[in-house]
Amino acid sequence: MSTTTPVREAPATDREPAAPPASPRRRRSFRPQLRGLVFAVGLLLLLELLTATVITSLYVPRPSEVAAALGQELRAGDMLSGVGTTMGAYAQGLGIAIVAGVLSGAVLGASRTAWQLFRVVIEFLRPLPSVALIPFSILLLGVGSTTTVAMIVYASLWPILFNTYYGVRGVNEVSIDAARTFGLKRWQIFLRIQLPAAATSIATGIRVSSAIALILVITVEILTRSGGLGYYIVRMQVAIRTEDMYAGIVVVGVLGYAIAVLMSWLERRVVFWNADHRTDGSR
Amino acid sequence: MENRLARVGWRLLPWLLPVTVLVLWEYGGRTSDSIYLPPLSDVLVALREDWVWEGAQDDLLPSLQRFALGYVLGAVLGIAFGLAIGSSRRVAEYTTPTMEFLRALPAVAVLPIAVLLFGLGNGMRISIIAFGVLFPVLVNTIAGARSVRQERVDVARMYGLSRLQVIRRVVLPSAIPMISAGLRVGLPIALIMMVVSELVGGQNGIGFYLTQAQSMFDIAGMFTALLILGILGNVINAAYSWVENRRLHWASHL
Amino acid sequence: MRSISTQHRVGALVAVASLALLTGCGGGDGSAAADVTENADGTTSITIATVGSDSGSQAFYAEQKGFFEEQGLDVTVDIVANVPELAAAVESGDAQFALTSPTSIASANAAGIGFQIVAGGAVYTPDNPGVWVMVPEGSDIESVEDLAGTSIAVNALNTMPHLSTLATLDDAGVDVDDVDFVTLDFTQVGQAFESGQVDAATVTAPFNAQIESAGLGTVLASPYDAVNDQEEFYNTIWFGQGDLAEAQPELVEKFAAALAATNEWANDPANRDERAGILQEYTSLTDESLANLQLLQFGDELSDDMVQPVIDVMSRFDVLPRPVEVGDIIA
Repeated sequence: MSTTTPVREAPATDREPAAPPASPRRRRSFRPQLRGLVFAVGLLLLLELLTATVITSLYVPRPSEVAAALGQELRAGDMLSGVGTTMGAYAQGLGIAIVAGVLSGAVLGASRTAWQLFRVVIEFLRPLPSVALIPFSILLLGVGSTTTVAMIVYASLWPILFNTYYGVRGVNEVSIDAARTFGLKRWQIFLRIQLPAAATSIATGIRVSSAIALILVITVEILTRSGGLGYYIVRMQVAIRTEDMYAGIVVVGVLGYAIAVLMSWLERRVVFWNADHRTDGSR
Repeated sequence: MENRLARVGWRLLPWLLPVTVLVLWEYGGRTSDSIYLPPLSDVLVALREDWVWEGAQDDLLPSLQRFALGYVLGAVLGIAFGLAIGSSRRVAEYTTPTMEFLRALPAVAVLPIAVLLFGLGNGMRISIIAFGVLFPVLVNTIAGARSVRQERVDVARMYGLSRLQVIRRVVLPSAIPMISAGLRVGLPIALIMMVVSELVGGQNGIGFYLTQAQSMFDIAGMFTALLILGILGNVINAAYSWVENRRLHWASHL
Repeated sequence: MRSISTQHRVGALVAVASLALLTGCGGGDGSAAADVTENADGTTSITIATVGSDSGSQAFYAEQKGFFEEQGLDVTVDIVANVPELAAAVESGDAQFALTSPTSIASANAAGIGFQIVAGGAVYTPDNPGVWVMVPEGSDIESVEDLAGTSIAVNALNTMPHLSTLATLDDAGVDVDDVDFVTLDFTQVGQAFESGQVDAATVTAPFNAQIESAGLGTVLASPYDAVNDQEEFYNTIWFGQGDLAEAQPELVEKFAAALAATNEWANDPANRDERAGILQEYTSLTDESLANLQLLQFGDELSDDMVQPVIDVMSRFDVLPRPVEVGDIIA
């Protein structure tokens, strides 16, 4: 069952290509944003055109209607308090997953016995879809934020755990040997060498999990109606307020975009700090 | 002798915890009067009754079909878009924000749109699975395509290869390790999407079975669905590793 | 506006996270009585769970109009998604009472879970059935007989909308095995009609009104008529753990009394506007949807006759793994 590999998702999606053209810095950072905007606006216009002419379904509002609904809902404040609840559960869940994932990943990476002991159970649990666990979680933890947080933790734990595990494992043997000759104890080696060296890999895991956690929090809120932005979306759907429902969905997308930007920025910082610890160029 | 004993012990160590858990489960189920913890043996009986083999045909097979089709569709689209975005800086600049936006949308929220476009049948469910798989594959393919050394592209260009040929002969082969990693990330996501798409309306599938068991308070049945999903996840993972070792290893030497 | 129980059981979470959960998979043995708090001022604090729609709206009126307070109850109202979540909320002790369909109480008892009905909810009456079989606009289905061999959407299998549709078809002499039931959320029926994906659907309010006013479909039949020969029965009920009902009959009495007062207020046509206003707060329904909505009537008398028809229709289509006595499920 030794089928595990680390989550090796690409670093920041807006990473510079191999040979960046030598252009003035200011222009370079401005142009991609403009182009991204042009594309998004063009897509919206196309959708507006399509929904005005070809797709005339009652259940597909025009982008302009959604935009109007969004403006109104944002002013009304109901949606924003939903966003607050959702992000609260998100932060809590991701935070616990980071702590638990890094700790358990580090222990598993540092001790071969621990890995050997937990391997089978972890391999069994890891592919288990978290949505399938919702019914059990509700029985165990009740309906509400506790279940939401628990599901986020479960789903976002694995990328962090495995990336920590492989990060700790992947530390150059030479540096460990060197440290040993300097008389460092095992736990000192672990704290001073293995864990810092794994930082890049851990950061990638956290970034992957940060996207998973958002999807999970909304999904659980939609399925259990336990408050937050997900509940807002369902409530609007049940109240047959399609524009408001899509406005909620748009907010989810915007949150996802913001989180992706923030996380890739954070990751670049970590990679920068740790450039000299890396054992190979692939991660 | 002692050395051999230690080796056997080391080999058996991974199974210590699972066996303990299963024994505790059986013991806990027998002693506790909680209806929510049926003993393992009851779950195994339910497993035989519900899944061998009629249930497997009714619920497992349709799930697997949708899983396979959705996964392949999402992977193919992800690789195709990824190569296009990854090998052109301009395309990337245009599409990145939109992509990040779409990527954050949970499948449950996309469901109404999928129903509109693909109806209530398998098409909708497959598209939901494909939607989930698309993004990890896409993001990794982009990174893989960008990791190509510029010199190699330039050389290929000098030899008069067209842009498409460069992508096929130069970019794709060197992107394969990253694509492969993305394909693996997509596996559990496809499994999640499969369950989600079946939870919300449907006629068959593991997710559908789970909701039915839940509404009838068939706790043992719920556990069997989890067991099936866990086993399925591991089998799929193992199968992928096998394919990866044979196929992709070979492909990277193209 | 709505409250969520925010007990941060960090311990439990860490347990989940650190996989310890697996080895100590004991939980789920919540006792409902534990979370009933007797306050110093003589009031009793409880939590109840309901759904965010008209059928679950008694709790909202009682909360806003002070009917719970009159009985010395300090009630937290949770909105929960569906039957399984409601049942889980009560079983785990998160909520003392919750609203659900009598079918799920019968299913729970058949599975050995001792839920009991403590108070009445929405009542079916022939002129206010609350559930309709609808067909898309322009459909050539004109009678129940025409539904033979079609595909019909219901929100979930083995629930009242499904079973009552089966009974209606069976009564009309249609071979029910020949009808293809598709599960589809009520919210998606209009869309399915619009794109012609199902031949018929069983829907509840307010979706029937919305589908009709949008010109997407028309009502074909009232399936609940077939459940009890057009006599009244409970469409929804309030339930709790059997142990709790036994241990604290006075709490159940107070709760039922509060709901009885609520029902008297809500059933009074003079209060319709105020009732619609409160409903709107909890459901975000538009003014237009509310204007078209035929508000449900609630009942408080807990008699066997009001529940037995539901069990009968479940037995008729072999839903229950073993027979359930109506006396066992009413507190």
